[in-house]
Amino acid sequence: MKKEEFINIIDDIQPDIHMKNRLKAKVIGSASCVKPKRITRAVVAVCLAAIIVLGTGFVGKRPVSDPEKPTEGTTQNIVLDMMSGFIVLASACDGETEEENQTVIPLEINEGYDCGIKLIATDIRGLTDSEKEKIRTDLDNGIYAYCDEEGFFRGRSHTDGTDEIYLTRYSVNEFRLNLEEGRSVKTVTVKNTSEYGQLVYSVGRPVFSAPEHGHEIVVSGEEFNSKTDGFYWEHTDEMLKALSENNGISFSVFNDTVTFTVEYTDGVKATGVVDIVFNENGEATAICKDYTLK
Amino acid sequence: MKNRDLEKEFEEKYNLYAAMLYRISFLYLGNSADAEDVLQDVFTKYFYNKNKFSSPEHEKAWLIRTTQNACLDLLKKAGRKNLNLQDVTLSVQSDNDARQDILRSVFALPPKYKIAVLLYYYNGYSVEEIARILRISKAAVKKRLQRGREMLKPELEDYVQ
Repeated sequence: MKKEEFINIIDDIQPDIHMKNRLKAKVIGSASCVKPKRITRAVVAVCLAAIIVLGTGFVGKRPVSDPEKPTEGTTQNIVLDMMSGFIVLASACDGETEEENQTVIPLEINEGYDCGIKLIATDIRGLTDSEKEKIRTDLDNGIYAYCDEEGFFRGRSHTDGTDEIYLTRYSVNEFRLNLEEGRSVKTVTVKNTSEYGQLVYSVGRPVFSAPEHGHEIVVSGEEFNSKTDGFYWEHTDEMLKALSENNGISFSVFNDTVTFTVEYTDGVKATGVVDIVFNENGEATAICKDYTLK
Repeated sequence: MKNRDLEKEFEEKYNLYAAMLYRISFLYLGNSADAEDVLQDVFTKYFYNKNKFSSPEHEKAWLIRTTQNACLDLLKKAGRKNLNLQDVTLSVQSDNDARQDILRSVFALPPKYKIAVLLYYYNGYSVEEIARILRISKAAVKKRLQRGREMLKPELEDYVQ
């Protein structure tokens, strides 16, 4: 077969002529939703008012993008905006080594979703009980979605136990492992080093079972489905506590290292290491060691 | 952004990318309805996220990756690792059995080999470009192309060597 023939075969796959109009109606209709959800604005507005009156507050590390919100350096900035995306800069998959008489090969790790972690801390200290209750109720109602000028986010809130700081996480970053074809997996082990981060694995489990959280997760080869399962990284309550106790905390404190180890039944072991690095603005990048994409 | 501006931008991006993204989705999912759902998801994300792309190549790479992830997500929700060939609706314009057979061979590839084969042999991207798009190493791209070739039917051997 010639190249042109192969191309022609794939060329045959075409959307119908009306798909453009159908998509336009759906996409444009959705994209015209640019106002933030009332609760979010209400939270900020209430907190700002409280802080102005009471003169206390949680000093944010950087200004938020909304021009109505106060800028960095003032005590009125109560929303700590820790953007943003994990960008996997490298994927180790070259070379083999011998380790304790066992072949170790680099593990291919890919970013599962092209969206990042955005963490927003909302300070409700100084509010009345009814105001706090309203915010708690709204934020605790599970996953909610809202649109703002920067995009579309879906988040879940967590408290620090004192109900004074709500840390809302938007989107997650999932790491997926690409395993060797033709090899049977014995175990998959994932570990992280920082107390401020933790690993989550749930995809392989039944829908209503609790996801597994921890600093070390071991999944048997029988359970792990490399084509659909992944591991998430998220913050811990310790991070919440650190944010609430230390206004000037340096984000580099939250840096983490995640090690993935896959052991195959034939004795081969594959390892991959991902560094999660926060910059001074609270933006996180995930870097796979030993390899750089050019 | 006003609706008129949005419509204009949508038209521009659709004309540039829709066919390519549709082919990727169709090869992953096997039917036009799911492929269209993925495109709706991808274009919606594109307009919502307002990503600042450093170049058209960056934008294209983002769209390809987002499409791939949306397809994998859909397969995951359906509890499938890959396309079920029995569900494939080959509504492509072809009466040629050999061409249909070749298409089925491509459909049968595991997702990660499928996208590499499509980008390399159909879209004409280099190994390095594919590595940048998919955010994997060059060695991984080569491995996927090799495995893809091994899995494709003999009808394609003359072409892919």
